[in-house]
Amino acid sequence: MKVLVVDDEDDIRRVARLALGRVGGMEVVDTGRSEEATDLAAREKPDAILLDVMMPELDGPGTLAALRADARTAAIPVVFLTAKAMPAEIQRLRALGAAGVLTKPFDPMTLAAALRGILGTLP
Amino acid sequence: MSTSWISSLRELRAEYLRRSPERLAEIEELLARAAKDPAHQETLDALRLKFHSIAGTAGTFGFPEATELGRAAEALLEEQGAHGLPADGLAALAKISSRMRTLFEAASGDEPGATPAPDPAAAPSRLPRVLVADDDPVFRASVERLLAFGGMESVHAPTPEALFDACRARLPDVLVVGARFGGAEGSAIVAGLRALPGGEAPVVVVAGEKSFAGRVEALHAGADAAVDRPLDEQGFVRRLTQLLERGRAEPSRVLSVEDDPDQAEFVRVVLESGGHVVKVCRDPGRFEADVIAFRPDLVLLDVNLPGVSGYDLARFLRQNEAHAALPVVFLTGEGREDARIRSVRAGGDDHLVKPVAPGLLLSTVTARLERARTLRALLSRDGLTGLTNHTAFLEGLRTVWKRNDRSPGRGLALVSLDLDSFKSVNDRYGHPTGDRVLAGLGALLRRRLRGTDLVGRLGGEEFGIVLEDLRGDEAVTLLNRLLDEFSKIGFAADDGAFRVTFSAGISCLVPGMSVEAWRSNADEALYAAKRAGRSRVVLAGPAPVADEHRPGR
Repeated sequence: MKVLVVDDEDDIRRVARLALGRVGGMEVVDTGRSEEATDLAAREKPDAILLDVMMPELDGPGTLAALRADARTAAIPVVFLTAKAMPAEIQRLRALGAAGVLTKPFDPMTLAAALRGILGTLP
Repeated sequence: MSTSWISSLRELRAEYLRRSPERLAEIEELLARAAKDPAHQETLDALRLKFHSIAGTAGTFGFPEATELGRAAEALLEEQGAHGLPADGLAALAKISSRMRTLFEAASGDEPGATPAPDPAAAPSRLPRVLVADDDPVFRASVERLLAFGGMESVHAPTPEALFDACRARLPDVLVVGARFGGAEGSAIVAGLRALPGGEAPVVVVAGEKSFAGRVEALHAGADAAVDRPLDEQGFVRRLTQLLERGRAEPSRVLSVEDDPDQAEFVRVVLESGGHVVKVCRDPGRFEADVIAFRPDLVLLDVNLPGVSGYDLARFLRQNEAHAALPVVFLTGEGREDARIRSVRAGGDDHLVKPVAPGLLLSTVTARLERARTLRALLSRDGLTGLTNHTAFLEGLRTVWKRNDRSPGRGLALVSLDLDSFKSVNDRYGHPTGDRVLAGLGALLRRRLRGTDLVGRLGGEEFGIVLEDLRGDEAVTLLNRLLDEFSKIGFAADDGAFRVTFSAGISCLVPGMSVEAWRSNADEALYAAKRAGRSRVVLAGPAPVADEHRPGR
C-alpha cells in the first residue's frame, strides 16, 4: 500500500513517514508543496493521499479540488489531516468529498491503523 | 542493523525540541511587531499559522500541553484578531508563548539527547514497606537497622490498634510482629490481619527466646514465618526477601516470532509496557529451542517468515501434547477471511491484522494470558477440596526439591496424610457425607497452613503437604495440632455427629535424597502410624525406626 503525504510542516512529514512506513509497513511518498501534489500523485499512483488542511499556498480543499479535476488522480481516496477537531469542521471536510478526516496531533503508533480503518470502510 | 523506529521517533522528538527555541523566537518577534501595530493583518495571520503549527505537531511529539496552548492561541486570534488585536489579547498570547517556552525548556532538560534511552528496569522502584510491631525498643531498633540495610522501608506501629489502623489504611508488604505485642498474642494479631479485606500480606512472627511452641502456634494461626530471639540476622533478612518475592505474581512470558526487526521491536515495547516478559525469535530455525528454553505462556506468530510459515509453526506446537493449551496469536498483514480461516485451522486462538494498534495488541495478549492462567489453575485444582491435584502436587514437589538443592533452607518436610477408616465412613453415611469430610479436611489445611505451603489431595482420602522452613520436630507438632483440631470436628449424620481422625507420616529431606526416596520415606512413616493404631503422626527417622508422637502428648 502506497500513501502520498502532503503537508507543509517538515516535522509532520517526517513523523508521518515513520508512522506509516516503519510502524505501518506502508510505502510513503511526501511533499511539502501542495501545488506539486497533483503531478506527484499522477506519477506515483498512491492508494491514498493524506492531505493537510491548512497550507500557505494552496490549502487542503484547494488541493483536493485540483486532484479531483485531473482525470489521472480523480479516483484516489483523500484523507484530510486537520488540527481543528471540531465536528462542524470535520463535516465540512467530508462534504468536500474526502474519504475521511484524521486529526492532528496524531499518535504515531496508531496513525497507520487509523488510516487503514478509514480506507477499509470505502466501498 | 537498522535503527528501530522507536529510536527514530526519539530522535525526531529531540530534534523537534532543539528547534523549539527558534519557533518561539519567531512567535515573540511577531508578537513584538503586533504590539507596535495591532491592526497589521499579515502579522496576525502569520502568528495564527505559527500557533496552528505548534497545535498540530507538539502532541505528536509528546507535548499535549503545548498543543492545548497552541489551540487556545489560535482560537483567540480567530475570535479577536479579525479587526486588529486588543491589548489584553496580545498580553494573553505573550503569556501562552512564555508558558510554551517553559514547557519545552523543561523537556529539553530531561532529554537524553544522543545517549541511549534509560533502561526502564533501572528506574528506581518503590521500596518494600515493612510494618514492625514489637514492644522491645532495642529489638525494634535492630530490626529497623537490618531493614534499612536490606533496602526496605520500615514503619513502626506502637499498639495493636495502631497496627490494624495502619493495615487498613495501606497493607504493608510484610508485617513483623512480636509473639506478645501490646498485651495481645501475636497469633491473635495474625488472625485479625487475615480477616481484613485483602489481608494476605506475609506475616513474620518473632517469638520469645527459643520459644518453639510460640513459633508453631504462630504458624498454626497463619503466619508465613516464625523466628525466635535472638534474631539470626542474615536468615531473617533472607526470609523477608523471599516473602517479598513470593508476593509478586510472576510476569507472563511471551515468545514473539517475527523476522522484521522494527515490527519485533514494536511488539516488544508494547507488550513490555504491559508488564510481560518478551523474547523475540527472529530465526524460525531456533523456534523449538526457544520454546524449550524460554517456556512461553503465549506465542505470537508472524505468518510470513523466512523459509516457513507461522501456520506451520503453530501446527508444530499443537502436535506436542505439552503445548496443546498454549495460547497462539497470529499477527499478519492479511485480514481477509481465508487468512483467518487458515489461522483457526492451524490452531490459532486469535488473529491480529498488521498494523495493529498497541492497545489492541496488548489487550488481546493479556486477555489470552489471563484465560490460560485461569484454565491452568482450574486444571491443577482438586474440585472437591480446592487443593492442588495429584499431577500439580508432584510437579510442585519436584520444583521445591530442586530449589532446595540449589539453596537449602532450614528444613523441608513432606507429609503423607491419610484419613482413618474412611471406607467405613462412606459405607455407613454415604458418599455425599464422605465428601463433606474430605472438603472439611481440605478447608482446615488451607486455613491453617501458609499460602506458601504446597497442599494437595493426591486421590481418595490421601493428602500431601510440603512444609518449608520447618524442622522435623516442628512439623510433627504442627501436624499434631491439626490432628487435634480435625478430630474435634463433628460431622453431622442422620444418627448424630461423628468424628474422623487421620494418620500422617513426615519425612525431612536430607541432602542427596531423591524425590522418589523422599516420597516413599514419608509413605513408610504413614504406614508406621497406621500400624501403630492410627490417629497419630510419625516422623520418619534417618534410620528405618520411626519416632512416634501421639496427639495431646
